[in-house]
Amino acid sequence: MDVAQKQDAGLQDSELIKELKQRSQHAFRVLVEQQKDVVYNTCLGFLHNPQDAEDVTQEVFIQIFESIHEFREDASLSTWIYRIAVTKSLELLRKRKRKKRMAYFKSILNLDAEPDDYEDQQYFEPPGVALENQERAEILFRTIDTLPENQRIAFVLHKVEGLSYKKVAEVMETSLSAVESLIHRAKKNLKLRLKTYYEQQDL
Amino acid sequence: MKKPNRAEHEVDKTLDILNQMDRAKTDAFFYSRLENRMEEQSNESTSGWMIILPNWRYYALAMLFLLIFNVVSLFHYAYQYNQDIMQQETSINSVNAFANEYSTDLPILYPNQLNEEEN
Repeated sequence: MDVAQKQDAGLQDSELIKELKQRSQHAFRVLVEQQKDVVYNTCLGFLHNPQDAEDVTQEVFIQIFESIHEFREDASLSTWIYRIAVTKSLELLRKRKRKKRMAYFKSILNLDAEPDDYEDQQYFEPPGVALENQERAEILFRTIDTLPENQRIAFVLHKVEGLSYKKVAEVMETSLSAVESLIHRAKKNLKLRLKTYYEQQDL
Repeated sequence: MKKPNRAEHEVDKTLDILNQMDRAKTDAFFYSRLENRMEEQSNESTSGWMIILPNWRYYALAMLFLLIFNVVSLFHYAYQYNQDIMQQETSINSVNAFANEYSTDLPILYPNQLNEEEN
């Protein structure tokens, strides 16, 4: 959200933080309306599932409301929100991975394993992508998911969320050169993995 | 040579998806859903305390019962104790009366010695 929109909303960051710390419902609503799409798009970039992205977006705002008094303002409010969104999304992915691992071990031991709902869910259809490219989009995001975590975070924030390298560095609490390196390696790995995939398809 | 070119072409087309993508958006009712969820969570946390509260009532009731039981036991014990003493006194009196009646008191054979002990 740009400054003009914030002014339209009637609250600047500092005022907004001050009012949020006073647990103002109005300030919270303004914040949600300002940042909901940003948070949702970020979460969807990691989770690739609209329901999960909506759930995590809600959790992000609940955490903001509950822990705004812990916000020390050494970073901007939006950077702090991005950090929470990334952390929450990765937490859910780790939880899913653990559940999947447990189900696998249970199946080995012939115990009754709960069916993994996540596996049954259809892959999301990225907005703006033509219908004939949906399958290609799924391949792309499944390959992005295989990247090392730091490369994935940097890549998604830059390519999906459209953040600058500087902003990505702030969110990841790292240097600009580190982010440049992460994104460069992410692109290289992604190309290599996709190439391997398509070559295997040809065989 | 043909295969790698095709694969590279596919890779480029796949990566181009990132340029085609629009930003995902939530709908207009997102805030209402969020508000409902926050309300539900706050109710859940309240009802969580409500689950504990009746237990506290039971604990208090149990403590009160124990207190009453202890007080009743104490009174009962004190009453029993008094009764025993009274009964003991009665039996001593009746033994004394019996002894007096049949003059079963031991005769004092050495009254002088007794007088010396008393002195």
